[in-house]
Amino acid sequence: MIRSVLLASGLAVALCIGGLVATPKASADEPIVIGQALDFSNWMLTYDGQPQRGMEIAVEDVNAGDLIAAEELGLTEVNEAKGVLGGRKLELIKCDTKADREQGAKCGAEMVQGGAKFAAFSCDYDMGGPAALQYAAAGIVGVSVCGSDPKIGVQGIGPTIFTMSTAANAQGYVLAEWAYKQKGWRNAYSLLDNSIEYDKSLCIGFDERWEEMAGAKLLGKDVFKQDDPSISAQITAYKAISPEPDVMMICSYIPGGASALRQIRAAGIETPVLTSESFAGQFWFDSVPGLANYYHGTHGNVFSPENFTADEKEFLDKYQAKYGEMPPSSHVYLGYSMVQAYVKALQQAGTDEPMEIVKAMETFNDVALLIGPTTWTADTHIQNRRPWTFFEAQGDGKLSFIEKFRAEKAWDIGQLKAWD
Amino acid sequence: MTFFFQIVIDAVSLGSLYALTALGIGLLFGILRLINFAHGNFITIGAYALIVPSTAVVATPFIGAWAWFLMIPAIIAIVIVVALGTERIAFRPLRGANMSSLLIASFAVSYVLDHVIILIFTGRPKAVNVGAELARHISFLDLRVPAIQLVTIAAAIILLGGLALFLKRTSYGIQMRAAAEDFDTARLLGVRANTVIALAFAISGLLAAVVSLIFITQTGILSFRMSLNLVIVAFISTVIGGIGSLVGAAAGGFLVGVASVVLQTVLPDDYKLTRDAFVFGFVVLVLIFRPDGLIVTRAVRERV
Amino acid sequence: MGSVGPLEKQLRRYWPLLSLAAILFVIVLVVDATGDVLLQRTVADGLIKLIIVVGIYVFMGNSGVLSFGSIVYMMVGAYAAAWMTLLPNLKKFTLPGLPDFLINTQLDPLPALILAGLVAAVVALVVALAIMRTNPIAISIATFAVLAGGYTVYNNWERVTLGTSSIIGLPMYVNMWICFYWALIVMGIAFFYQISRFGLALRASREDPVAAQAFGINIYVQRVIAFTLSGFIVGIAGVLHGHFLGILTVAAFWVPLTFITLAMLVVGGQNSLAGAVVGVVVITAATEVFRQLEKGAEIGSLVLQFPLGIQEIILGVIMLLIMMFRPAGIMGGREIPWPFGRPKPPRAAVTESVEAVEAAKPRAGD
Repeated sequence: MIRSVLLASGLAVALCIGGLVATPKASADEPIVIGQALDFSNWMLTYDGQPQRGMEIAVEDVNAGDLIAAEELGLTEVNEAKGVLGGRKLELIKCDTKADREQGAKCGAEMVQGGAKFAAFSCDYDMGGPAALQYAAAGIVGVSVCGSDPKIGVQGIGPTIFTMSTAANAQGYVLAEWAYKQKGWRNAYSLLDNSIEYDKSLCIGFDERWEEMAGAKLLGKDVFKQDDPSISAQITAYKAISPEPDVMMICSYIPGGASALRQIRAAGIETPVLTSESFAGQFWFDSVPGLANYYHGTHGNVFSPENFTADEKEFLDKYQAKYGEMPPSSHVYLGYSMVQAYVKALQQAGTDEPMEIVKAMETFNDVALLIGPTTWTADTHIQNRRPWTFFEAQGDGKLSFIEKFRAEKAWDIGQLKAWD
Repeated sequence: MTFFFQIVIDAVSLGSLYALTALGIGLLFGILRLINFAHGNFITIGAYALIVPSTAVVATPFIGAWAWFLMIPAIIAIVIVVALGTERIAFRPLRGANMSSLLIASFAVSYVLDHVIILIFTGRPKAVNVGAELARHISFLDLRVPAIQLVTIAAAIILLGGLALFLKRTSYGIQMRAAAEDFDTARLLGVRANTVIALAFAISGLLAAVVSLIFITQTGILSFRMSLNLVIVAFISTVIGGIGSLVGAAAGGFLVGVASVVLQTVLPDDYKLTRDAFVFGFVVLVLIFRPDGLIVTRAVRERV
Repeated sequence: MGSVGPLEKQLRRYWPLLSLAAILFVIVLVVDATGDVLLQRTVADGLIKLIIVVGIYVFMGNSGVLSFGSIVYMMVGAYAAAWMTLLPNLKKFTLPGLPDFLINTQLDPLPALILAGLVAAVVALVVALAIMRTNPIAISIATFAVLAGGYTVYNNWERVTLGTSSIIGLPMYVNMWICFYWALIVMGIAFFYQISRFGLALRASREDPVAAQAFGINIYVQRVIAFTLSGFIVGIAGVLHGHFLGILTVAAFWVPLTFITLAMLVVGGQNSLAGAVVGVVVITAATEVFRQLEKGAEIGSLVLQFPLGIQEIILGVIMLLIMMFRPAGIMGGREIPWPFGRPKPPRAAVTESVEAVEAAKPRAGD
C-alpha cells in the first residue's frame, strides 16, 4: 500500500515538474502573458465563462492587429505592430478554479509562476479572493472579470487589484435613479435573496438611493434564500401590502431569482419587476412564461441587434464567427475590455512592470472601452458611475433595449477607506 | 382571517413537499441505515430529464414538451431506473457495511451523478416551463392559492395513503415494514433482502420523481445543486420524526415545513435570516430530549 | 518479548506514529527539493486536510460513532484566530460586533493558533456534554444539526463574521513546513491519546459497549473527552486554513468539505491513525494527478488529456470501488506493521480491546 502511495505522489511530483519548469524572462520578443484563474467547469462558469471568451477574442485581435476601437483608445500603433510595446504578442495562460477556494489560490500561484504580470480572477469576491490574494502577494496586477464588491480593490485585497465591474451599491443607485426618473415610480418594494454579498450590497444601494429621492417611498422589504423551494410565505406577505408598490426590486441571481419571479407572476402579481446584472440575460425566460413588466439593467447590450453600436457589432460578429452562437450575457464585453485596458496601460507605461501598469490604470478617466467609459483612481479600483443599459421584456420572450442611463450620483467608496 | 388560511396553506404545502422528500430518505435509512444523499440526485435527474441533453445555454424541452399523461410516467420511470441502477451498481455490493461506509458510498454516488450532469448539461442553470397552468393561482373558497400547492398537498396525501395501505395490506409491504423495524430478524424470518431493498429503492425513486415534478413546476429552473438544501432539510426531518419510522419521517418533514413558513412569517425582519438556525436548534433539542425521535420504533432503541 | 532490547521495544511501541511521520517527512522533503511552489501548495493543502481528518478520526475512529459535523469546529477555530490576528483598525470597522478586548488585541500567530484551538475545543465540549448521552445514530445526526445550525448563525452574524462576505487581511504565514509540523504534532496527540487509558477505554466501548460498561467504563465521559480533543485538532486545522488562504468565508465550511474529509477518513480506514493518513495521501495524490491530466500530460510520446470535469467522476468511482472492495478502508483498521520480524497478531483491534479492558480494570472497583 505504502508503495503505491509513494508511487502516486511520485507520479504527481513528476507530472508537476514536467509541466512547470518554464519561467519566461522579459525580453523584447517574448510574449506578454495574461493569466486566467477562472472557473472553466463548475457553477461559476455562468459568470466567468463569458468574460473568459471576451479575453480570448481580444488577445487574438491584438495579435492579428485588429483591436476594436484602437483609434479612439489611441492604440493604432498596436494594430500596426500587431502586438504591444513594439510588437510583442499576448499570450493567455489558464487554470480552472472549479469554483473551489483552495484550487483558486493554487491557480493564482500558478498564474504568478507562469510569468503573468497581469491576470484575471473570478467574478465573485468570495470565490475570486483566494487567487487575488496570491496576485497581491506577488505584486502583479489582478483584475476581477466581473466582481462587484468594492472590497476587491485597494481598500480590501490590495493596491494592485482592480475589477472591471461596477460596484453593487452603485448598481443599486443607478437602478433606483432610473426607476424614479425615467419611469416615474414612487413606491418601491425590495425583495432580497440574502445568500450572497452581491445581492445584499445591491439592495442596500437601491434602498439607500431610493429613500433619498423626494417623494419616493419604500413600502416594504422581505428576504428569501436562493435555494428555498417555495417563497409562498413572502408572496402572501407582499399581497397584504397596500397600496400596491409601483416597482418590485429583486436582488437575487439565477437560478433562485428566476424561481422567485415565476412564483410571483404565477401568483397574479403583475407589479413591474426590476433586476440587475446577476439575472444575466434572457436564457432563463422559459421559467417565467409570458414574462411582462420586467425591467433589467446591466453592463451592455447583446440582445437588441438594431441598437448595437459599431464596436459592439464588430465584436459580436467576431464572437459568432468563433463560437457559432451569440453570447448569452453582456459580461462578455468585460473580458474584451479588460484586455483593451491592459494594452492601453502597457502602451502608456511603456513597460509591463506591474506597479507602472497600476499607475497607468489609475489615470483612466472615462476611457471608452468596449464596455463603456471606465474610470479608475488611486483609491477607487471599481466603477461607481458607469452608464447602465436598460432593457424590458413585455411578454414577447426577449429583452428589448430601452436606453443607456447614467446615474447622477456616484456611490461613494469613501466609507471603505478606513480599511487601508 | 384570509391571511391566516393563506399561511396555513403555504405551510401545509411546503410541509408536504418536505414530507415526500423525507419519506424517500427515511425509507432507505430505516431498512439499510443508508443516509442516501444521492436522493437529491434522483430529484435533480428527474428534473433534467425534462430537457434535451446539451451544453447549449438555452434549454430545449424534451420530455417536458410531452403531454402530462406521458410526461409524468416517463419521469417516474426514468428516476426509478436510476434509483434501481444505483442500488444494483453501488449499494448492493456494500450490503452489510457500516453506516459510515454506506454514507461515503452515497456521497460518492452523488458526487459522480452531479458531475455527470455538469458534463452533459454544464454547470449553468437551465430554464424549463412545465405545468405553467398549475403554477397559476386559483380561487379556492375565499383564497387565491397556486394550484400547485393544492396538488402538492394532494400528492402527499395520496402517496402517503397509498404507501400506508401498501405497507399494511400487502405481503411485500409487511416484509418491508419488518425490515425497517429490524432488518436482521426480518431476514431470519424469511424476508427476501434483495426484493425488499430493490422495492424500497423503487419507491424512493417514485417519491423523488414526484418531488422533482412538483419542484420544477414551482420553480421552473434547473441547476445541478437544486436539491442539496431540500435533501439536508429532509434528512434532518427524518430525525425529528424518529429514525426508522416511516410515519415519523413524513411527520418530521411536515413539521419542518410548517415551522419554516411560520418562522418566516412571524420572525421580525432582522431574525428572518436565521430561521434555519431555529429549525436546527430544535432538532438538537429533540435529539437530546427524545433521542429516538418523536415517534419511537424498536429499531433505534440501543441494540446494546 | 524478553529477548527484545528496550530501544526496539520503544521503537515498536511508537512505530505506527514514527512510520507515518517518516512517510510524510519524505513527501515533504522531496516536494521541498523540487522547489515547485504549486506542488508545495498542494501538499500544504493536503496536510491541512490531514489535520482535519486526524481530528475527525480521534472521535470517530476511537468511538465508532459517525461524526458528521466536525467542520463546524474548524470554522469556530478559523474565525477565532482571525479575531485575534487581524489588525485592530481593520476589526474596528469591519467587525464592530466583537467585544472591545478582542478588537484591541493583536496576538502573534502561535498563541492565536493555540487559543483558537482551545476555543474550538470548548465549543466541542459544550456540544458533547449535551449530545453524547443519546444513542450513536442520534449523536451522529445531532453533530450534523449542530454544523447546520452553526453554519447558519455564522452566515448571518454580520458584525462578527462579516456574514456571507469574506474576511481578508489574515496574515498569510502558513506554508508547507508549518503545516507539516502541525500535522506531526496532531498525529502525535492522536496516537498518544489512542494508546492512553482514555483512548483504550473508548476503543473498548466501540468493540463491545456492554462489556465495556460492565468493566466500569463510562462511555459518556469517554466520548466527551474524545470529542473535545477532536474539536481542538479540527479547530487548529481551521486556523491553518484561514492563514494559508488569507481569506475566510463561512461558505467554505459546509457539506462539500464535510464530505471530502469524511471520505478521506473512510476510504483510508476509519479505525486506525494510518487509515486517516493514508486516505488523505491517496485522495490528495489522485486529485492532483487527475488535475494534471486534465491540463494534458505527456507520458513518453503519449499525450493524455482528460475532458474538463471528468476528474471528479473518476475520483467518485474510485472512492466507490474502494468502498466496495475494502469496506473497512484501505488500511482495514490496521496501523502500519513493524517491518522487522515477529509480526504482531493480525487483528490489532482485538489486542487493543484486551489491553483496554485491562487498563480499565482498576476502575471497575471504584
